[in-house]
This record gives sequence, structure tokens and C-alpha cells, in this order.
Amino acid sequence: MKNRIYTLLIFLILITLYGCGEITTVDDGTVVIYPTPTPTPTYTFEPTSTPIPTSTSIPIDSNNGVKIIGKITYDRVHVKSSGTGLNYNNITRDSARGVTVKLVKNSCTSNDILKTTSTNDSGDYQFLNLTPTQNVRICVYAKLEKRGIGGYDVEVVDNTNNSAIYTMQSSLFNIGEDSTRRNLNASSGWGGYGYNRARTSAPFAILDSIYTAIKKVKTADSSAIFPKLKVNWSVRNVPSGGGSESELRDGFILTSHYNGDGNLYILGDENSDTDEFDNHIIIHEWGHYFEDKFSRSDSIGGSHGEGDKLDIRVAFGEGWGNAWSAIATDNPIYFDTQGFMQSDGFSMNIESGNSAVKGYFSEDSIQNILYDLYDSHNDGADRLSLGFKPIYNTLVGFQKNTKAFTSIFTFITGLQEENISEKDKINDILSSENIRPIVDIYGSSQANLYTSSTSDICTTGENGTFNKLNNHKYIKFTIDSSRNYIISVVQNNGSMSDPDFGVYKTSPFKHLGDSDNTTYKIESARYSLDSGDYLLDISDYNGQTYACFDININ
Amino acid sequence: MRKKLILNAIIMVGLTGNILADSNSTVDNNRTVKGTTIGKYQKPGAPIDITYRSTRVKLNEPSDINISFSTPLKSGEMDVDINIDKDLKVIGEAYNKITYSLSPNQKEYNLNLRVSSSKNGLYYIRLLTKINGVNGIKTRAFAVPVYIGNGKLQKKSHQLVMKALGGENLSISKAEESVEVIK
Repeated sequence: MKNRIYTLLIFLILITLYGCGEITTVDDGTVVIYPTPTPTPTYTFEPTSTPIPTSTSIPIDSNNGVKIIGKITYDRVHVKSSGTGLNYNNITRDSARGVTVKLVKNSCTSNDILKTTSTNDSGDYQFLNLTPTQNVRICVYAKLEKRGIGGYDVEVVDNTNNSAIYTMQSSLFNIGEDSTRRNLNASSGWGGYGYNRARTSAPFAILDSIYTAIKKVKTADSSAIFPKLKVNWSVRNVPSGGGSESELRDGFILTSHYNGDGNLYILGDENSDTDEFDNHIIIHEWGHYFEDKFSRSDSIGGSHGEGDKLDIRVAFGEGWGNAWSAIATDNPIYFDTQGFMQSDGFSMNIESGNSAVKGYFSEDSIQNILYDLYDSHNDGADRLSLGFKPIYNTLVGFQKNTKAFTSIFTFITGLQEENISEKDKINDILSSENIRPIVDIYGSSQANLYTSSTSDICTTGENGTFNKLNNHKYIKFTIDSSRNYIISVVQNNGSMSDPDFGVYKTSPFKHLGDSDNTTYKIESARYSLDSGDYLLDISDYNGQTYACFDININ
Repeated sequence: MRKKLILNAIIMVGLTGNILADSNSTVDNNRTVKGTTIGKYQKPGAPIDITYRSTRVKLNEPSDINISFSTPLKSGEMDVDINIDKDLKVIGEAYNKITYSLSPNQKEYNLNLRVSSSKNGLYYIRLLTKINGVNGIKTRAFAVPVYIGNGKLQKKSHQLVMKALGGENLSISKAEESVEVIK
């Protein structure tokens, strides 16, 4: 017996030596904690230069028993008037619209939920007909939730901490006989020379930008239902990495982006690149979610910058994202704050900016065209103010079902079909960006990208590699009889290329697969094809200046 | 029985020793960490890509950092602001800014550094690149990771991560509050 006690003693001493310390998160999972609640007296907030508003738009009704009402706000740090860098002397307390608020017993982790609600468009919430209860807390989740027609489901989580949902909590208090107004604010965490407290407002700022985007879509379609979206933000999200699953969990997200699978990733690394207050960036990336869930994008992604002549799918996708950020906010100034103390960065004017290069392959041209179609400001060649609804209708209708790859050609063809009386004005806007009147979805008569020929199809690396104009060519072909086919792409002007191809059925549009082995000169694969029309997207992985191919489908 | 007690103690010390050692462990093999943005999606910004290599090293051992920038632009200048984590010591000449003159004959613009640290951690060399384009300056930020010792990120979180009884993980922080009794 003595020996057992000694053994236990040794064990406890050793565990204590290791285990003493503050409660922290562990690297490979969360710490499960059920804290013992300690009732605190009524909490008085830190004084700030901008007091939390004490008025609320919810009228006080004495028939609602004991109530708790209030306003949920978050600190939004604004960009400097120059458009470069965040201005920490210009922080406003903005309403946290549509967020989930709960009244719980003891802790936000508790299952004992007394009331649940959402804030309205002024950030107001209310809990009515309450009974005296001890040890309660208000929990505000970085979550937008609405069921049914016009519904949405968005949450902001920490991808570096097991997707923990960001939550802001009040102090513990007792519900007595008196009604109270309890306003809660999510602070920025800025301490003057850096972030020295929790950046509580960041997830709510991101959420509010997304709420703006949702509201804009609803102006065109009030019954639109938004599939679930998870937004991944962390102070550890850095502009580094390759995008693998494990890297994303560690914060190596490379850049703010939509991953094509219901997830947004947003940068949060201070003194490098933080995007939580750059609302145009949030909304641009949300625009890719919109394309994915409501419309269609055939963009092959990749890097893109000023002056690039891009693959037409990439040009449209990125131009749409930029234009959409200006449309949703009705603010054509896109900005991205970066650098030490977030004091640097750049901005661009979607309305009046000059295109570094003009044409159907230019991201700048696409964003200018789309914004000019939308806005009510007529200038130069722009004499059109369509608003958002025709653009929305084209994106969710014609663009979604088009038999060609999504581009300015497909979009304008669809838009003009539905708005035939505006055709000339649309052509004027196109002309200002060096795009001739669009005759069909393939850009025939101005872009030599599609062909029905299967011999001597040439790609070029003269505009850059991977996702630039003419890196890819598109072959239209028809299958009459359903069976297996071998598709071969063979270089006929040398042997240094590495041909790859993708196969697409066009109606309904579906990406069937890619063949991308690392082999010189030839790529070949077997596909089971039903009768119908197809597109073959061929490219040279080695980016040869000029590579020509013969295609065989038999 | 006494032998069993001693054996238990030895086993427990051994286990605990492993646990403690893990938090201060040194890296036995050098490993190269590589990354590139070429071909990867990027949000709008300066048309600049980066390729980097850094070596994982032990405490106080020098880590070689090789960085290469590429851009399709053939003229003008590219500025790079360099911000190195404070616990990283630069060996040799230190810069906080470099300017490259862009040329049609040059495809890559290189930056080589040597750093070390006496503390375990995952550190970053933060780079802000700038190019003057048609519509003014465009920028792009990059972060090159440097692994020293156990290579674990030392940044403290100000949030408390807890597991709700419903199963969700929550990252909780305190609100600023005002309270008023309604008459």
C-alpha cells in the first residue's frame, strides 16, 4: 500500500512539474475547459473617444416584461483618404448587421441557451419576457444565419485553431426585475503601435462586408438562397505557402482567395498583409463564391496583374471580381492595405482608371466595362445605367448555361439578347476598351481561340505562361456515337513541348477531366464520351514560345 | 516491490523527460523549405511572383534564405521593403529596402540573406514589393518562413479557444460593454 502511495506521489509531482502553466491552446487540438462561473458586478467599458451609442431603434414596450435590449457594433478601421494604408485615427463603431446573438447560462460553451436572436440592420437585438436568472451572459457569434427563402449561412472561423467560430462575450451578470440596455462592441485590438489585444472586430468586419454583398444580390433577387460559406481568417494567415490542406490549417494561405469549395480564406498577418478591413477584397473573393454557386466560372486561376494579356476565362473572372466589389459597395475605389503597421498598399479606381492594356483579354477592360454597364454615372462612351439586375440575370442564366468557356464574349452575348434595345450603347462601351461588337459566344471575328479544325493548332508563350492569352486553344468537336475514345495531342513542330488537355461536355456544361502527364511531345488518354458537343482545351505545360499540335479523336 | 517502484519512477521520468524535451527540442536534420507563387492564384496587385528557399536550422545556426522575384515588366523599378522578425538576427549586411531596375534581359531578381536565432520558433521575413504602373503604384506582400529549432510559431493568441457542449469549437474574446437600466 505504501508503495502505491509513493508511486502516485511521484506521478503527481512529475505531472505538476510539466503541467503547470496558463491555459493555452495546444497545437493539435483545442483545450476542453468548463470554467467555474464567477458572477461579476456590472461591467463598465473602457472609455474611448467614440462612446458606444446608448440609443436604440427598438421601441421600449412595457408589455414585454423584463427585457434586455441593445446594439452590437464592431470597430471598423478605415483606409486613409489617399487610399494607401489603414488610418487608426479613423475608427468607427459600425453596426454588426444580421449576426447571431444568444443569451446563455454561465458560458458561451453552455448548452443552456435561454434566447437566440439576430441583430437587425441597425445592429439592434432584443431579448423579451425574461425571468430573473443568475449567471447569464450574452454571446455574439461571427455568424449570419437565416433559413428559408432568401436565406444564408455564413460563419467566420479560425482555420489555425480547428475552425473555432469567433465569438464575443459579455461579462457574467444576473437578470433581475429591471430591464437593461446592454451594448456590446468588438474592439480592433489596436494599441497604438501594434495589435496588443484580441482583434475581436476583424471577423465581424469581414462578416459585414459579406452582408453588404448578400444585400446587393437580393436587390436583384430577393428570394436568392445562399449556400453555406465558411470564411477562414486568423492572425496567423500569411501570404506564403502552396495551398495544401495542411498548409491552410497552419495559416499558409498564400493570398486571400476562394477555394472553389465553399471556403474563403482571408489574410490576417499584421505588418505584412491584413485584409479584414479591405472590404473590396472580401467582396471580390466573395464574387468568386457567387460565380461558383449562382453562375459559372471556367477560370483556370493563376497570377494576374496590370498589363497582363490573360486567358479570356481568367480575364472575365478577375474583372468580374473587381467590378463586383465596386458594384456591391457603390464605391469604385478598390484598396488593399499592406505593409508595416498596415500603413502601405495601393488603390485603384474601377470607374475612371485607365486600362494598362485594352481588350477582351484584359482584366482592367472587363472591370471597366462591367462597372460602366451598372453605374448611373455617364461618362465618355458610357451612356448606360443598367443597374445590377440585368447583370445578375445574365450571370445566373445565359452565362451559367453557355456552351463556350465563360468570358466577356459569352456574357455580352447573353446581356445583349436580353437587352436588345441597349445593344448600341453596350457596343460603345466595348469599343472604348478596344473590343469590337461581339457576334457570338466564341468571339468570332476578333479572337482566334476556338476552332473546329484538329490539325496544326498552335499555342504561344509570348504573353507569358500558364494562364495568359493564347497559352490555351479550344477545339470544338462533336461525338455522334457513345463509346470510348482515345484523344491524342501531338506536337508537329518539334518535341520540346509537354502538351496537356482538358475535356468538357458543353450541354449541360461539364468538365470531364484533365490529361496532364509529364511527357514530351505527346499527351494521350481514353475517355468515355456520349453523343453531343464538346470542347477540348489544349496547352503546353513547358510554355514554348510557339508549339503546334495535331489532335486525334478516335 | 522496491524495484518496481524504482522502475515506475524511471519510466515516468523518462516519459516526462521526453515531453519536456519536445518543447525545447532541436532539429537534428537540416531541411530545405521551398515555395513559389508562380502559377498560383493571386488577388489583384503588383505583377510580381516570388520563389524562395530557406533551411531549417538549429538554435544559433545560420539559415540561408534565397529569394527570387520575377515580373513580366521590362522597365521601371521594383522596390522591396524588408521586415524581419525581431528575434531573427541578420548575419552580414542588413537591408530594410532594396530597389531593382527592371530590364528586358533579366528574368529574376535575387535577394539572399543569412539569419539565425537563439530562440526556437517559426519566424518570417516579410516583404512588400512595389511597382509603378499605368494607374500608379501597385504592391504585393509576401512572407518567407524561417524555421529555427522546433520551428513552432511563438505568437500568443489573445483569444480563448473552447469547446462548446454542442461540439463546436469557439474562439472567444471579451466585448467592450455599456450597461444602462431602462426606466
